[in-house]
Amino acid sequence: MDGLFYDMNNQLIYTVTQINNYSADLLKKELSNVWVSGEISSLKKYPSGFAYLTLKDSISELSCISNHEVISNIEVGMEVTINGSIDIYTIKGNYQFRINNVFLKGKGNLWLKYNKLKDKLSKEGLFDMKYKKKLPSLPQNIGIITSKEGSVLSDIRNIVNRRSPYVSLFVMDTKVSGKNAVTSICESIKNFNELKYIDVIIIARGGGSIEDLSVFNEEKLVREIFKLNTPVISAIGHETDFTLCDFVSDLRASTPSEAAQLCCISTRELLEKICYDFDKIISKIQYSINNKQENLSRIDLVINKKLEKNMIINKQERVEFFLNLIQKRIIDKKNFLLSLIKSNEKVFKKYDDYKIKKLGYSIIKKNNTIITDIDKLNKNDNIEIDMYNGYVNAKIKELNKHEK
Amino acid sequence: MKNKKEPQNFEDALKELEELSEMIQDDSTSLDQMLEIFERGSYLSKYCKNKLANVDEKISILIKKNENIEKKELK
Repeated sequence: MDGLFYDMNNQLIYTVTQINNYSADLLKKELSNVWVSGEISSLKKYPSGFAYLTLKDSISELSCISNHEVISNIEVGMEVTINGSIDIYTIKGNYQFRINNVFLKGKGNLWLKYNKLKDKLSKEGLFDMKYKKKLPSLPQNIGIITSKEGSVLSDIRNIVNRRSPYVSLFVMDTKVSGKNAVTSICESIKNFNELKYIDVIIIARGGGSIEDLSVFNEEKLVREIFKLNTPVISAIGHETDFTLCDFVSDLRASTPSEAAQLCCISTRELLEKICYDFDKIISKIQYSINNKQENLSRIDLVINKKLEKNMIINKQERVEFFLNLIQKRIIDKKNFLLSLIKSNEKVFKKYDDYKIKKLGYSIIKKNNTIITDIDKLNKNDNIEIDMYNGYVNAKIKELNKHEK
Repeated sequence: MKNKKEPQNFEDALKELEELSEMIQDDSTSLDQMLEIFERGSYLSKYCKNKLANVDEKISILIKKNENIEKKELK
């Protein structure tokens, strides 16, 4: 409880609201789904749908609250047994009894009969969990046992059309109240049991008095439902009404609308599921491709590193190679230049000889040797006189040496 | 993929799609297998979406006549 307060002596002190809430909790826990018998001493129905009544015995009174449908057959002065829970109106601190069901004592003690039958069938095992069939995960053909007319069918249709329009409804038009109701409902159940394409059956009926709903407490009907091979949902009366059909069915819905909601998954949910599953496939593929690409680029990287290493080696080799090449070129060039110089020298020499000879100087050779000294010549020697455009063989007649 | 056939119904298709989405998570699945799963998965998800897109209300009244149950569309 929030904000509990303790005084100087460590004594717990409640606020009014706290004590009322606390009492309400305790009473709800201890006194829910209990049976009380007495006489109706006052009854007032309000347009809001609520009804207030007082139940009394020879000594005490009990304030009760209910809705119009539950007490539709009730009048002041009747001896009744009511089923329900104690509830505290915390703002006023009053307590009242919230009625779920009313059984008239005069009418053959309906509730006693109800309880006896319930015990009997329960002992036989008709309500055992082990016989409960699982609802199909995705029913598409839904069988409905209810009256073709009336709000129950349109409630179910509304829900199905809004949430799950992909579902097909099959209605077995059935009398759900009155004299022949039990026979009619049993007939519909038998018929549906032959139709293998029906995925799930809803037995539905709107709210009513306990007498109206007592059809669904008939032993014959309960046993017929138990024999069904198709999963069945009971949606009878209001949330507070419990019939034996509810116990024998595979699932109990508090209203026909809830039955429709329980058995068909909405289109939106299904689309989400489809997208979720398909996305899972796509993202896995994307992940794998990315992974493979990463592997590829990792391999690329390794190759590149190797290549780079190779290139470094190559570079060193290349530098050496070029150095050699350049050195060789330089040497070649040098040799070429040297040879060029040499050949040029010869050319120049020849050219000089020619120029000199053309000026009138001639070269005298004796035995192919150039003679520049007259002392090396004698009379009658044979000589060759080399001129710019030819040579002459001559014999020396006279030698005259210059005087110093 | 061993199961190339038309799904029996919506429920089957949805179940198969779910199985495929689980199957592909296995790291031993090859890229080729993945592409096959992708192909089948996209077929199944289209199939399911088409089924869901079928929004015509279908409600029939069943009437028992001479031991046969007849179907009558209700408007």
